[in-house]
Amino acid sequence: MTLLGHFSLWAALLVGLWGVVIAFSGRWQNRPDLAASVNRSTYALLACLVVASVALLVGLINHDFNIEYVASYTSRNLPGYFVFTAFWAGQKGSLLFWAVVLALFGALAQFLTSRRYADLLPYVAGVTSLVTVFFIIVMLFSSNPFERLAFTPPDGNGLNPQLQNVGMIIHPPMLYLGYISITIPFAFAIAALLSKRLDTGWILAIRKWTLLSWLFLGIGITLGMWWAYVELGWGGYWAWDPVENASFLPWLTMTAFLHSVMIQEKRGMLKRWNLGLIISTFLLSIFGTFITRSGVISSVHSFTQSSVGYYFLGFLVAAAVVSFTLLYIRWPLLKPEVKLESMLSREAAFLFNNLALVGIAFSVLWGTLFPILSEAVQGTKVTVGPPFFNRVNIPLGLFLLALTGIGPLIAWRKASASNLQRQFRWPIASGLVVLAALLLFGMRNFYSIMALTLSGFVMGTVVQEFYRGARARHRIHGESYLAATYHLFGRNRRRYGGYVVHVAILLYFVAFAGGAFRVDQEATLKPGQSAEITSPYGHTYSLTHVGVSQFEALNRVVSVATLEVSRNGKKLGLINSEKRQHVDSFGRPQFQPSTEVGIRYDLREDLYVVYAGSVQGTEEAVFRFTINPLVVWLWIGGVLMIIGGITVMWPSEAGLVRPIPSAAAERPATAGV
Amino acid sequence: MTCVLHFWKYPARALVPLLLIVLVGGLGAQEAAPAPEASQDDAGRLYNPGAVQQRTPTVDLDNDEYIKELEKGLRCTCGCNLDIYTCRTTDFSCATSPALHREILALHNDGKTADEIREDFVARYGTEVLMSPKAEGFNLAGYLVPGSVMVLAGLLLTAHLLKTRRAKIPVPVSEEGVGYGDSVAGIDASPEELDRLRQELLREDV
Amino acid sequence: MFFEALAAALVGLLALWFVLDPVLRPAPPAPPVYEPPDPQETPKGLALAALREIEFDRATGKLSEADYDELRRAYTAEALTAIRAEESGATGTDDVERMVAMRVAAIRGGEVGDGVVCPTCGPRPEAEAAFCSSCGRSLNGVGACTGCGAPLTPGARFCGTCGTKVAA
Repeated sequence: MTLLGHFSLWAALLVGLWGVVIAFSGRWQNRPDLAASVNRSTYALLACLVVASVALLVGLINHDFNIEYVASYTSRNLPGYFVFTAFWAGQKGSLLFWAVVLALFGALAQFLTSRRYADLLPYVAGVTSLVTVFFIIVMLFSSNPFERLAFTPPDGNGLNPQLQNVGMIIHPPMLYLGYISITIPFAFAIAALLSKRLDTGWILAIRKWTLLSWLFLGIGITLGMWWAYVELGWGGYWAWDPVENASFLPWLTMTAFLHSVMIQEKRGMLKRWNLGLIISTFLLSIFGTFITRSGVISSVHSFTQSSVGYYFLGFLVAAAVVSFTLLYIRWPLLKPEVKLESMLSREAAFLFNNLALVGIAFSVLWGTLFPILSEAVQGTKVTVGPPFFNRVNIPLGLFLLALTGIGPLIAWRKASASNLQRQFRWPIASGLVVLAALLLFGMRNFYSIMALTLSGFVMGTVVQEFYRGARARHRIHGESYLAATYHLFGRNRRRYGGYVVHVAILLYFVAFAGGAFRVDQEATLKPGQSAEITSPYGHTYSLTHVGVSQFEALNRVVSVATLEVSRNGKKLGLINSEKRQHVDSFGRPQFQPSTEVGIRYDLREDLYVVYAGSVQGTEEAVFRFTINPLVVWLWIGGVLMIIGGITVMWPSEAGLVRPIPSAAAERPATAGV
Repeated sequence: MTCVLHFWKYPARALVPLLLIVLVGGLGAQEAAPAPEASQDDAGRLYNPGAVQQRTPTVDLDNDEYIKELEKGLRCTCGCNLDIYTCRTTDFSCATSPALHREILALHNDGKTADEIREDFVARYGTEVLMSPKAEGFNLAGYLVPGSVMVLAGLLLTAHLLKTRRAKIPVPVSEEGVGYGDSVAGIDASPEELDRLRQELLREDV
Repeated sequence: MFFEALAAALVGLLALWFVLDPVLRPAPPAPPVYEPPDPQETPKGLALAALREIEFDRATGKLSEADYDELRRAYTAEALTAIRAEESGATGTDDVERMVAMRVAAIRGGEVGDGVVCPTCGPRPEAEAAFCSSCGRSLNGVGACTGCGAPLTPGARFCGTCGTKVAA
């Protein structure tokens, strides 16, 4: 199937280039036939790339090891669903995956966008097709997934065992979906700049897209943390690795955009800033891809180093120059419509929120790039690791958390001293209650205390917002409190869905605060022996080594170490941790033995057990025990973030109902009001 | 021997000694009797020792907080980008970090302080072995730039806001309150228009 | 191998045909399809939304009475201006009727109207009409905006939808 796949890529290149050239020529403005052709080119591009993807999948499923990519990432005994994930597990396949998903988004943008923006759409198609074409060029000229080998190996290399995990089935595609979908808002921004339609129109057209890519990125990052936590065996979930940072950066700028765009919609301010944010977000997503694939900055996650990185660097520079030049040319057209009325307004709070988010993004980017900078300036390589990032970002993160609580309490336009006092009384009280409780229980870690106190404050804000909102509806419309709360979501999904997301973010901070109290311990146990570990809450876990059993599974030899767990003398049950030695279909070992950790989840703390290895090939085992306080709130926060995000995106009733009769024909008043 | 050989096939057998211990020792007394004579023989060889990493038994210094902190500040040289402590406790496939760990323990046992050990590592592996660069020379820029840029941007933003703010919206203001009776103070509108506005406001109000 | 090559050729040809077809066989120009602006994004919609929010902010205790009065007055004026502009601008028709008329014309594919559009009454059935058969306005020199395709008001110098300058 490589011929078909390879040829489809060429066809896609041709079709894509046609769309790009016609779109940017601008000739379609007076030629509806050309506009139609540009529109159709996005669908044709998608079709060609789908054919190519199907060709690669067929190769993977048929175990056609003559294809270099198939031989590199799969083997005969690889479980079926991992054969699918091999599609994006390697460099070349992931490029194709990227291209086909981008083409899908590009076509959807053409298909779903209202004809109101008909004069933007060909430009949008031009940008999405251009980015897709770039990926096709990289594949065709540097990293072709359909490359064949001179011989056919009897079996493939198999998939890296760390990637043979459920988290790895969803995590990379989610992150890719986030990265890729950023292209659509970027395309609309460029289209608006090119066509000079710089009113809020383009912002409204991309509302859902920005939320979607923000949500995908958030889910992708959280799943990445979860994967690192359950698969890598170090009991942590974030290491400030360059690749992790790279995924965090566009999320930060996108979050900033989601907030500042509200000011543009309501007040016509910050047009330049918002365009800058969207462009930066796109560039950061390409930057992330560059870091992952170039090997310029060393990282645990990198693909094998290859020349592909330089294609991305070139593209990154070109995109940055063109986008910012365009922004500069249109600068005079982007004057703000109104001035800020008061320093004490939510607009001002949003500006500071943007400052904090972009500031964090800047410091993360700075830290990520500093090793390169240092080598260039002083000639010595340095390492910028977690100690650096924590020092800079924890205070900024706490500032941001505080703003999360402050922002919603301040009214749009203008706020006064008396209502500030009324608004802040209860949230501050709830923060202080948390603070007192923590001090009473003897917590002494400054940053953790701050994080939890501010979380209490933010929670107070959100609860008060819901309560006061429901009470207002109760008074105005006579609804019951329950119905009123429900209708709050109905009337202003963005605001109240946003509050749900705020609670999710707060839960992340709670989990981070717990990280300061992590306890870990290594122990060597013979069967029957036990070790004790004391949790920061004061109770003691006792873990008794039961024994190691070994068995063979489909593509691996599994060694399971079993421990019996009791807390303060009360039995909790058994916990297992595995070593997996993967083998090929001839039974020969592949890769190093990988680890499956045993985790006992608890709302207060996780007990995290790793079977690190055996002493002289006996059942005597080396274990690592970790107590991770509050980690589970990270995953709960992740689920809540999804719920909040979907709530915001859910189509509102007002948006579905189209304009209603003119005034003369209207009924006097709506019933029940 | 036979029992040990088939041990991996019947993992449940591994539970037998434990169940006995539990039954004999009672629920409250945890690991009352680790059965020393049993563990000598039963900690026999694994059926397939090659399927598991081989490790040396834990020593007390492995769990020493002082050593842990020291190792968290030094980078593993295997290219994984992690610190020595995290690397040697992660996935356990790296051979470099346990070796570095042993080096640190040896230096520590020679009576060297944390600073001396760090210097020793820098001398051998270069400055990049430190997880965060020393705050000196150009490295200061690394630490100070993000913070100062933030503070500067914050000040500029505040100054800008104070300069451009306008307290009033240009609208005629009167002393009377606003209501949608028959007229709105300061606004010239007929009762019909106000009625229309009121209806518009009620519409779409979910 | 042969079938694969055939399939590949087919994919390429189909893609090319699909993309180039509109250019090689241009369809008769469809009458412009009018899509009314989102009611929530018109000046009226924005002012009404602001008024509702002010009301709600006061009810939730976020606005002092003085601020409330001032802001409410400002946005009431804005809303009234928008309502007046709407009423004087398009008497007799509104967005929905205009949109429906244009959709109908678009579906009939040029049988009716052939692109002659009255700015107030929508597409006209008389292809060559110089005046609107409903309101009597002159239809000469009045057409769709070159920028966005929205119908133009006679005498307008700028398009009311997108602001593109109308060629004199």
